[in-house]
Amino acid sequence: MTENVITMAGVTKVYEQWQRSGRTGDIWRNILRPERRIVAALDDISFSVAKGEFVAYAGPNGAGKSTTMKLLAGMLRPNEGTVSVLALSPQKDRVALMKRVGVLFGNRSELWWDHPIASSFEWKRVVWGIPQDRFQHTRDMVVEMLDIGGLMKTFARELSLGQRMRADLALMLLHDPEVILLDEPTLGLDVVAKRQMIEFLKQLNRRKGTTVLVTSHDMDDLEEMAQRIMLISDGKLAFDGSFADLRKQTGNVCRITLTADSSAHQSELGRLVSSGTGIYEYEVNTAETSMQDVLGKIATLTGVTDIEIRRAPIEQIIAGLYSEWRNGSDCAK
Amino acid sequence: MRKVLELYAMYARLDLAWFLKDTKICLMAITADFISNIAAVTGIFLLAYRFDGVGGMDKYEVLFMLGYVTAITGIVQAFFNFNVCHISRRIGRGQLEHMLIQPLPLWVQLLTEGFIPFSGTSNLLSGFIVMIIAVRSLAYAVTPIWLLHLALHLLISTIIVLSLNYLFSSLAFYAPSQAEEISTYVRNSSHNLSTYPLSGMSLAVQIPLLSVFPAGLMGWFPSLALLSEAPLGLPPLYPILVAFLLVLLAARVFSRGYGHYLTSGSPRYSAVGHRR
Amino acid sequence: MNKYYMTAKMTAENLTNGGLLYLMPGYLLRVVYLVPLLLLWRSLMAGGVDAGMSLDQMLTYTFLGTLFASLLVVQTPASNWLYEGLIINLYQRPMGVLKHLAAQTVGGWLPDLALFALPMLLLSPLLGIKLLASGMTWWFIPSLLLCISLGFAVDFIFACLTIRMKNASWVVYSVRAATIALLSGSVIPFAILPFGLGEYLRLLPFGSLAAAPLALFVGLSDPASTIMLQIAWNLVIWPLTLVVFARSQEWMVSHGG
Repeated sequence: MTENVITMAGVTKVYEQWQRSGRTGDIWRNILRPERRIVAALDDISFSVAKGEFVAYAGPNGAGKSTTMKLLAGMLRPNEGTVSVLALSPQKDRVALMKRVGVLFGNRSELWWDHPIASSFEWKRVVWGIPQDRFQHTRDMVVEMLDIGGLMKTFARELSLGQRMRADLALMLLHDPEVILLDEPTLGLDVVAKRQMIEFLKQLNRRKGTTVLVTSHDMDDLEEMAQRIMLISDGKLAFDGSFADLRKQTGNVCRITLTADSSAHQSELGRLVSSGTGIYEYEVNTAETSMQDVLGKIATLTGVTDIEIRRAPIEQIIAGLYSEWRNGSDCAK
Repeated sequence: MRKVLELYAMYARLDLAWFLKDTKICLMAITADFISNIAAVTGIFLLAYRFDGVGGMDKYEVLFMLGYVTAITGIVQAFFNFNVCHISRRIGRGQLEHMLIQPLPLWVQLLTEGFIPFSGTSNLLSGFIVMIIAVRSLAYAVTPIWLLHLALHLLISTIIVLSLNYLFSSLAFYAPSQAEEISTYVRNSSHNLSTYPLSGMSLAVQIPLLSVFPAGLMGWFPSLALLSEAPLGLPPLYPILVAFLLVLLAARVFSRGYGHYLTSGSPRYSAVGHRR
Repeated sequence: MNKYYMTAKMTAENLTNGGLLYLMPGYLLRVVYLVPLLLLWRSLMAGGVDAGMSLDQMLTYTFLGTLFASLLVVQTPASNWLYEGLIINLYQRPMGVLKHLAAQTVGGWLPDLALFALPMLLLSPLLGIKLLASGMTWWFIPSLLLCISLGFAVDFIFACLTIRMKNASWVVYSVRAATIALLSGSVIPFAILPFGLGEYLRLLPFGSLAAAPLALFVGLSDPASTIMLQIAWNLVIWPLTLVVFARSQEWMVSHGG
């Protein structure tokens, strides 16, 4: 049986928000009877993550992703339910847990600003109490894998965002964590820096079996990294499964691009997404129309010089889902 | 304890590295701090000089008190820097979360993280220099026992300073934006008040400043206890009692605030001042 | 003008939006600081010694100095923002950078004036302060305006120095603290200092800050010479400020970016 390293059971997290009209005239009302709103960031969420899994945790803005990360890192207490990481309670056993878990928020840095990277690494060694030989081994490995050897003597404040993120990631890994919690680790990174980060995380998960839970708004990145995706919406777990299952659930849409003469335009392959200068792009739901039927229809067309069939971008599928959820919740209101 | 010492050594190394990398700037900063501290207490000393003492305190007793106050500022600066003393800034800016991912109890982090023995000793030195001048001018006979008493009083005064700051800073758990700088107000108020020679003032002022808002225990009371006798007939080690009660109160209020923080989370985050 | 008003209003509400209750401890601390200071003067001058000013003048001077401290020695957010790299945001708005900073500073004063200074003025008789019985001259009003104007100019120079000091910007903070503590006369009136120091200090640019309007309010100085001196320092410091600010802009933007 696979060992679960992260478990959330029936977790509810509620925030209280103060409301302000912004009108000067309301100043006394704001003082005497301030309006408050209760927001359920997480509403009875339950899930578990097995050892060695690489799980994407996604959802629209304000869905509760960072709240989940903070609950798992012991920075917040749930209102209801239980949270367990490596069989420890993040809230009660924070110190013991932090020796075994790595946490990285993409918009924050743990590096010492006015010191070279090497000094921040040394700081980490002492604070985490990492034995010297193990520290050296891990440091050499992450420095090589993240290609930051040339940055070790550079002050953190002088690094570019991509360099800083790699250095932060390396710092986070120095104590060889069993579980890694990453909140938006690719935020603001350029294409090259993002690729480096993704490749590194995949290697880490594959080679060392490190469990990774990562949030991001970049769905293509998540699909490339993770084996499983959990989607939350309005504080509820809306989907938990593989990316393939997610595609199936949303209709397994694919895109067919035909290069052909105008007769192709008349066809009933699917929804025409775009057309121009002899290139026609269709969206086809293979759950409704089998690929065999689609190919059969194409075979009847004349003047087709090229066919390209692609899966629809995961971004598009998830955007559709978000939009569906949003409309659903608007209707509910 | 071994861990604490190891952390102190590491933070001292980090500070030394910073000092050596920016020695010119660092020396400028120390000099400016020195001038600033001397200037901060000069006004009161000039008054004491002008009036030949204040409320029964000799002008050099006033000078000793000002040196003592400067030394306390120095201890806070050298040991509790990086917004460890000004904890409301860390809380208000949501930076406490950086501490929560370290595998150390909060108190260990707070005790050690702000240690800057090389770049932060200007106040301590200027305080000791002023105290030495005052003691020599008073022709006071300094003994090892007296020095131990001085060290004890400095320790207790520092505890009082920190407890007071932490007590008020707990407000930032509930109102991070409004109370982000409350620690600065508390420290400035308590520091300014601690430079006042309270001798000659009415009991209505002296008693609150020795109990409710004990700025009198950050300079005036210990100075008189060390140089002549403790004011108001109180025992010389009366500050220990206040420090003990204040620590209990601050710990209670702070931990309640911390509980609120864990429940409500931090609605804001700013990297300003974090590990600079 | 509306945009500056809006900026000031937003700043004021920034402080009050979370509920006024949380501002009270800060005000309470200022009262706790003020009352012993007033009693210190009473204690010092109890023996009827010649201090160069009467007890009433002394108490009024200290009282107003504490209530209006932020106006008497202006501190804009410029230094902090430069240090924090936030000043660059101001360049993205259709407003003058200095005017924007001034609007925010004034906005920051409003809650203080309404919630602390005004109530304290009303309570002043309870603290034994005789505001109008201390030889007040209305010349303190133009003097206060000149003091605020000069305060902005001096603050902007300190801000420019801050950016040039980069990571040791707290050097400027220390020097500034020292300046305010001694040279501006905001806490200890020049008239009471020994060795005739006050006569020299009032001639310095910092002497045209807090000390000038406060001394005029309590009737300690001659309006003509005080105001002329303030005008002169404004005429000298403002052009200097504008030049230093213009030359520091590239530093600000590169640091902020």
